Formats: sequence, structure tokens, C-alpha cells
Amino acid sequence: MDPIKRLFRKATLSYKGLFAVMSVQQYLMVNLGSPLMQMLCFTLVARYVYGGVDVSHWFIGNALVLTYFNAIFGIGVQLTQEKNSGTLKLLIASPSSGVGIFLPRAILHIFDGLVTVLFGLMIGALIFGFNLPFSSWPAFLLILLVASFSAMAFGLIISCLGLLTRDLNLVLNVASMTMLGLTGANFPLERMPVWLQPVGQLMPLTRSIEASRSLYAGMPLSDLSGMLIGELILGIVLMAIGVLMFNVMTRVAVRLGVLEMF
Amino acid sequence: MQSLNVLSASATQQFRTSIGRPMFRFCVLAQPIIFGLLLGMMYLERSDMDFTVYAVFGSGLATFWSSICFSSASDIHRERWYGTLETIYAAPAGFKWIVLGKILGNSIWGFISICISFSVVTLVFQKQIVITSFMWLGIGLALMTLSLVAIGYLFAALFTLSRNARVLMNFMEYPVYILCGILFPIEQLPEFFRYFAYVFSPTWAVKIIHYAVWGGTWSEVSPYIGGLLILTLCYLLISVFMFGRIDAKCRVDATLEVY
Repeated sequence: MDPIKRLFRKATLSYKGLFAVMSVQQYLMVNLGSPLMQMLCFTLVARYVYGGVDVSHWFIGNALVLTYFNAIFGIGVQLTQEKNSGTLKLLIASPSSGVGIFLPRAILHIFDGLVTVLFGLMIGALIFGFNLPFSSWPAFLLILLVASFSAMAFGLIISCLGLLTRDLNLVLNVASMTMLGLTGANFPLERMPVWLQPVGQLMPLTRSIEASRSLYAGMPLSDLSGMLIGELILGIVLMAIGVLMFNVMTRVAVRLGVLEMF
Repeated sequence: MQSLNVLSASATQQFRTSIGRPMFRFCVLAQPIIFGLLLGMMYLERSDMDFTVYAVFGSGLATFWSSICFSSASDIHRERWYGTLETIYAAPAGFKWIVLGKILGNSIWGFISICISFSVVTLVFQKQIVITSFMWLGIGLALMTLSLVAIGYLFAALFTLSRNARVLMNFMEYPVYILCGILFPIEQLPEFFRYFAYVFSPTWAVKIIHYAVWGGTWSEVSPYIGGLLILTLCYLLISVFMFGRIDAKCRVDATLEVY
């Protein structure tokens, strides 16, 4: 089979495996309802706290953070889902490489994350007066794509932890709440203790949020290329760490005998 | 007397075992800390009163609500997946009392999460915590707990019928934060939503706790106490009615099992 066709076949199969069991209403509730409610909630908190009429600065941060929903609760649970279905052993025993397993799984989640953010932006336009000039949209979409890639790479690392633990919920939820705080989506990073600020800079989405805010403020894309390249490099590094972790943790999981649910 | 024994045994068992679940540990131990720190950072430069109301108590109440969503509401779902729902449903001790006991056990943990959030935010941010009336605070927290027990009981009744509980409980978390003024004043919302908010008992409880911080006379606070008590009673009556109805419906629809 054509490698590209095979890539998309794997991508759609893994995506269907995650959501096919849900009805349309359930799918919309999980994929759009909860993330958009979270965005709305924190943007309203920010509007009250920071007092400005134009809350776009905080709204953009919370909209971009939505990409992590797919990263953490979509990609992050992949291996755990395989474990619960009893198919993780088969996956590990297959001749596919770590990249061959991971990459197709991330593709549809990247686009799914983008759709969630775009819905969020529509809500922002209606409620918070978010109004990005038409000419800035291509650059904004590029930032979104890079942000989504970097968030998915982070999701792959989380997913690997599912190889060793039988309940990933604690890790998933701590990671998701950490993204709300450490990426600068809801408060300036300078408010954090000095020792914690570098951690914020190492988080996926931090640069994308800053870049999209600057773009909204009128800065041209050429001035933001440093941040975008930084986010892209971070995504590639996280992806490489994810694949490495997958290879190492697979061996550990086989040795410990934790590839099954019980 | 036998019912009280069932209630007590079920609550004790639930209190001891629920904390073994990682998701519940997140809700009652990790979430109050992370949520408290996040809201503390956001409210850092607001007045001491706002900080107390929304960062200190808001984060605690929010995690209490989350623990209701992911415990009391989801316990039925979990029993269904374990294959034990039919067993406790048919137990002579009484399904209603067993479920109520579970919710009481979970609610104790929910209350502990408020204490954790209060302690962490107070210690980390070193801001002045303003409590003008400890009486209103005590009444507000006690009635809030009672009311959340009633809501948990109502959800448990509804979720006995539905296999979609897991999806619904995930969706319920943030709308209540938004509508009930837990994290910011409901005056931020359009007028229509403000009226709608008073259908939910946490809105009334949050108002009492706000008066504990701002200070308030009996005539100011009593309508909220009355409203909260009436709503809680309504929730309980609906729950009792629902448990009666589901007894027949579960048998007809056969929804006590996963498949």
C-alpha cells in the first residue's frame, strides 16, 4: 500500500477507535462542549480580574490552550486505550517502529484540535469582540498549526507514561491543569516564582500564545518567526523524546509485565 | 435504625475506598492545590476580599463541585462497569441508603478538598484572608455541603438510568463554575443567565459565603439561606421520587449492566 495512504488509514482507524463508540451528541460534548466551556470560564475570570473591556489578550491564550485537550485527552490516552482493549501487546509485538505507531495517531488530532480552536474563536468573536483582520488569518492559522503540533508531541510523552501505569487519569489531569497555568494563558509568567519561570518557557504553547497575541496586536509575522521556530523545534524535540521514551518504556513494561489491564 | 446502620457502613466504606482511585485523588488532593495556585496567581493583585472570595473559597468550592461530578455522580457508572450495580440494587439493605452513604463518604472528602485549597492558597500567597463573619461562613459551608449531597443524590438517581453518565459528568463541571459565581461574580453574565443561575443551589451557597467575607446582616443573608434550604429540599424530593421511578424503569429498560 502507498505509504501516504497507509499513514492516513492508520490515522483514521486510531481516531475512530477513540470516538466511534460515542453518539454524535457525546462526541460534540466531549470534543467541543467541555473545552469551550473551560475557555469561556477562564476568559470570564480574566475579564473580571484584569478589568479591561478588551479581553482578547486573555481570550487568545485560553483559545490556544484548547489544543491541549486533543493532545492530552486524545493522544495521551492512546496507549492506555490499547491496554484496556487488550491490543497493546499486539501493537508492541508488531514490526512497526515507534514513529510508525505515533505519527499517524497525532495527525487527525492536530486537525481536530484546530477545529476546536476555530469554534472557540467564533465564540470569542460573538462574546468577547475578538476581531482579527482578514490579512492576519493565514499567519494566525500557521501559528495554530505549529501550536497544535507542539501540543501533540507533548501528548505523546504523556501517552508513554500509560505504558507503565494502569491509571493515567491523575497524570492527564495534572498535565492539563498545568498547561492552564504555566503557558501564560491566564496570568503573566512574570508572576510565577523565578525558579518556575524557565519551566513555563519550556512548556509547549507558551511561545504560540505569545506569538498570536503579538499578531493580534498588529506585529507582522516576520517579527514572530523566532517564536514560531522555537515552538517548532520544541515540538520536534518533544516528539523525539516521546519516541525514545516509547522504545525505553516498552522494554521496561515488557520486563515488569504491565502491558495488560490486570 | 437499620437504615442508619446501612448509611453509616456505606459512607465509611466509600470514604476509605474512594481515595484509592487516582482520579478521585486528583479531584480532592491535587486539584485544590493546582486550582488554588492558578486562581491565586490570577487574583494576586486584586483586593484582599476578592482574593479571599474567589481564590481561597472559589478554588475550594470548585474542587468540591468537581469531586461531586467525578464521584457521587460517577459511582453508579463505576458500579455498572464493575458488574456490581445489580447486586447493590437488589440488596435488602436498600439501594437508596447505600447510594446516599456513598455520597456522604465522598462529600467528606469534598469538604477536605476545601480545607486543602484554603491552607495552600493562604500559605503560598501570604495575602490577608478576610472573614468578617465566621457564623455565615459556618452556615454557608454546612448548607453547601448538604446541598451538594442532595445534588449528588439526584445525579446518582438520574445516572442509574443512563449509560452516558461518564460523558455528562465531564460536561457538567465548568457550566456550574460559570453560572454559580464560584470563580467570578455572576454579574459578569448576561441578565438572563443570572436568573437561570438561581436554579442551582451552589449559587445561593456561594452568596452566603460571599457575605461571610463582605459582612452581612441577617436580613441580607436570610433570603439566601431560605432559598438554599428550599432548593436542597426540592432536590431531595425529586431524588426520592426518581429513585421510586427508576426501580420500575431499570427493570423494563435493563440498563443496570454495561451491555
